[in-house]
Amino acid sequence: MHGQITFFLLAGIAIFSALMMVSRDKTVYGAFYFALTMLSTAGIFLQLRAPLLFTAQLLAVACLLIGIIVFAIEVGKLDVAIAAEYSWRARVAGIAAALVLTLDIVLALLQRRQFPGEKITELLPRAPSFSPLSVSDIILHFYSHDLMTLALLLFMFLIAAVGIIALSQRRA
Amino acid sequence: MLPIYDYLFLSFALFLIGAVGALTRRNIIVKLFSIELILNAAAINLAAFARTFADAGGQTFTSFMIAVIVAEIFVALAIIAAVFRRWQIPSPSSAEWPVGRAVEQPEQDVPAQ
Repeated sequence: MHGQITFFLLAGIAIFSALMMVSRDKTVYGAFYFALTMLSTAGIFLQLRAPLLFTAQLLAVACLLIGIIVFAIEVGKLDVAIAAEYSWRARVAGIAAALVLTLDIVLALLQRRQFPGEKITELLPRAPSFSPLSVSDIILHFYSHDLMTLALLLFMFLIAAVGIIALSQRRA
Repeated sequence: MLPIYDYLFLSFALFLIGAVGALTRRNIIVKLFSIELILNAAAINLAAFARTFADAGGQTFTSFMIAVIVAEIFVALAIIAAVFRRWQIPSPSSAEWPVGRAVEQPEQDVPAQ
């Protein structure tokens, strides 16, 4: 029961902050609401017993906040934030559609509560064992099954780091 | 563990909000954040299925995805700043937006002769 309360609290915070992020005019507020969404997602990862993902998400939020602070002055000078949106009707219609569909999701969830016999997992193969994963399992998976992916990702990070340094040192 | 329905519904809601934000907003940075929100929804899906089937692959790819999200935000912000600085694109809130539109000059009164 406590797990359900925690999940619905975190999910509510995530959906609310995502809606506020989309609907805010000022970019800085949107960025902070996005950080709140990522924090609540980190809580959901912790509830899923994924401590490595929780730590990675917290580090991501910290990096995101540092990035916002670093780029806030530059982006503020450039005035990328739009004071008046071009198509406010499309925006209002989009937010209304998102609200209606989210309400639809909530209704579907409540209906599922009334008929708990139907489960989507019955359509999928059952897991042979249901033991929670440990960090050592994931690290072992990193360096055994996904070593090529890890190498490609590190190579992409290297290229991105070189590119971002070159862009930041370029003068207009 | 909660049934996987709940995680799927949450992921769908976040994906929907991100898609709406990416399609309807004109602010480039909010578009970027909306795309990151979509990636975040996919990460929740992967983590939930990894927990359901006790498979380490889902968590592995989720950790990759989190790293990609952070790197993408930094690179995209740097590219946005560099592009706006390099080409001196006028502010969207100014009178010269969109780019190339001629600014209307006020009519001057011609003195009667």
